[in-house]
Amino acid sequence: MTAAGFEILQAESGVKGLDILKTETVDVIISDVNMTHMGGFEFVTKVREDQAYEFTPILFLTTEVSEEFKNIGREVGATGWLCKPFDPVELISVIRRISH
Amino acid sequence: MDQFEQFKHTFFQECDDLLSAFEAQLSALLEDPSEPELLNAAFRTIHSIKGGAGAFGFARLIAFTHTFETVLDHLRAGRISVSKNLIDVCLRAGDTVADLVHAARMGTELELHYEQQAAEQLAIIAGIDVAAPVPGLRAGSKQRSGDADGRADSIRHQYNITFRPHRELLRRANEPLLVVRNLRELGSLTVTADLSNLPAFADLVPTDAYLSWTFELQTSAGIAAVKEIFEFLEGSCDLSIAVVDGGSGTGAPIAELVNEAPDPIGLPSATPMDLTVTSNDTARATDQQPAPLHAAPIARISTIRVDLDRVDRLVNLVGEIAIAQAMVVQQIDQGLTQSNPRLFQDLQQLLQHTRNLQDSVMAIRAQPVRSIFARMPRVIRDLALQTGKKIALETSGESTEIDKTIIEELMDPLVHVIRNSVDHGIETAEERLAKGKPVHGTIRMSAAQFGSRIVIEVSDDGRGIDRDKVRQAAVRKGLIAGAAPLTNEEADNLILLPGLSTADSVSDISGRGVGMDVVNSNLKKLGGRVIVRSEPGRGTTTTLTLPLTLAVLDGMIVRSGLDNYVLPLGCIVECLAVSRQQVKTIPGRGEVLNVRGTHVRIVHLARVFKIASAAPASQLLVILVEVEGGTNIGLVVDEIVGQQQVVIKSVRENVGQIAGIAGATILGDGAVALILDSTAISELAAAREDRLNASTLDINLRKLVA
Repeated sequence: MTAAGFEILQAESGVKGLDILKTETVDVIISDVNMTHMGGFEFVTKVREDQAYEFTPILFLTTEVSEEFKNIGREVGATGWLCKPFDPVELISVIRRISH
Repeated sequence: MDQFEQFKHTFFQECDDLLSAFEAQLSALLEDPSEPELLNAAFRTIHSIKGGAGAFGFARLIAFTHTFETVLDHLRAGRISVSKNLIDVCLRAGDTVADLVHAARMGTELELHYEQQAAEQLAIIAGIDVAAPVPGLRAGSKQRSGDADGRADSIRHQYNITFRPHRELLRRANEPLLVVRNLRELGSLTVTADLSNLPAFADLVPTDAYLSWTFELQTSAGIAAVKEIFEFLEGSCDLSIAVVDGGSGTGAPIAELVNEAPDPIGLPSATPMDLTVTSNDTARATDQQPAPLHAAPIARISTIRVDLDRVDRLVNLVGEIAIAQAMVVQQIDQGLTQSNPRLFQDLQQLLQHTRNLQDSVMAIRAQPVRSIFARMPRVIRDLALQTGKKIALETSGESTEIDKTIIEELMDPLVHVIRNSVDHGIETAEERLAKGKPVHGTIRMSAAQFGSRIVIEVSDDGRGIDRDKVRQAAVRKGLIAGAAPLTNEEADNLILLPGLSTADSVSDISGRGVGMDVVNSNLKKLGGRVIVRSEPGRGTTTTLTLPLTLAVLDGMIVRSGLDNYVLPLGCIVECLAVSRQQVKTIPGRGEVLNVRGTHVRIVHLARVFKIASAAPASQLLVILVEVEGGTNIGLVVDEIVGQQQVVIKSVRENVGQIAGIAGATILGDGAVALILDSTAISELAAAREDRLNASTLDINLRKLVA
């Protein structure tokens, strides 16, 4: 990711992620679904509540993409999803596709 | 077009220019194999393309140019010699480079092993192994689009796509405009927007999606590539994608047609549907393009490249108009306001227009250095990744404006300087820790205008130049005599010589000894210079100094002796009238003036130029001017005449470079005035103090006046 010219901010949980977003501005958010201390769905719901991130692209990175997952993802406001394991090139091309 | 795309666009334009020159260079080389400059130029072309390809991650282009570059390097080193066969292979390889560049530009992928044959031929000539991977880079890249369904590029499909977003689509940060952008990357696109659902303004909810679109896409990409674009939109919109074949002219479900569409090379014989006139609420937008006759998509021309001479002629002409106008104004009676108010009014308008015209012409040329500085973080990141070093970049002065030609010519030199700093200067993290330096190496880039010169500095906090090693390498390559006595500065600047490299291994970053040579020759071409200063163990600073030519200048007109001179307003700090007693003479250091606690060196313009000054003995008019490096000098003149915008005319073409003079201009009264270069004047004055007289200047000046 860094090689492709992106700057990365990492958080190991949804709570930490929200903390980072309080101080930093990001262009794209990539979130796991299964996380301790606030899972991905709750995290994304909270992020969307913040006006500053109302229209920021958010990607879910998850082990399984089912119809049900997609529906919940759309419900909470995710822009897209990627299935693990993923190809780094694909990740970058997806980010390019959804980012402004 | 976002900034990154803009850079890419520039890179492709440069590639076009470089490659068209490349063929001529190779052909000339066959005529005259002994001419080293031709070979150096050819090498630099391929080297530059490789550098740009590296910055944008075009893996196949990097790999191929790396092989090609190795061959040219062997040639340069005399390990292989020029023959007709070799030139033929190189010319074909040049074509292959052009094809790879074209594919990269179009975002398509050439068929697998497309460049293999050319690479093998190159390898045979050079006796190298093509399979050797380029260090630090992935071999091959995933295809972005193109023949996802296994079809060759030459087959073009037309897709009719209807896209109706659901109201809530925007709330997931899905952006319909990105769909348009992504589709357009695949081929030629006609977009028709349906505005019929747009509510009255009062009822409009900004976060709701009201528009829907119909797209007609002509592309060589397969259905998978098109579907991929809508991947995240399924469930948030109503979508239909139909492939239209060239004959029937009707849309049909994709699954039935995609595998059996007859070969639609060329124009589809019937346009399936025309939505332009279906209703008043439908607006046809953007990008309609005639269907290309050939399979390859044609690049849209959004910029034109104009011969520099033409722009120069325009700049000159506008300058002449401004000057002529100033003369007219001066001729006209002051009482015009009363006697002929109408004429006065018209004249004012003319002045305004001329000024605007001048600004517009200059705007064609001026650009902030931000456009090149902004490309550097990526270069640094890539280099850091390839070398495994930790590097931070700091930039300042990005808004400094430089003439466009200079900007264009600066990109390559700056990349080379930075590559050099990363490869040779910055140490590995372990080495830095051991030396007690911060783990992150820092590269600082700054741009600033000092009077009539632009100074760009690139400094690193690395290990500095190993002068012994550089000197040995220079002796070994026969660039200097073994016994040549060199100062530290001279030893540092040896790295600017062509063909000098101290790197132990050749990488795709640097080490072939082209980098600093390119920097030096590019800067010289621009009338600038490169100075390398290094402190062993502390780092290296490379200073690129460029003249501010071909520009309009806000200047202060001063008189010394009988003649008027122009001082760039930008370098003037303040003007002071002081009594002669306030100027103190320090033995061996010349005259100084105490300005609010700071001692400023006094330079008499008349003495520097050896002209008779008629200044009154008791009072001195001192203009504090800033010189390169941030210090001030006090320039003594006889009179301050006024301020005026002047048009810089080069004197170099007519009388050569004159120390202390940046150019000349014609004033409103028709008199010629020389534009002063404060830094050079300061240096001249210092040289005078050192009893080195400025006789060359004297001669040149007389030549100029004659």
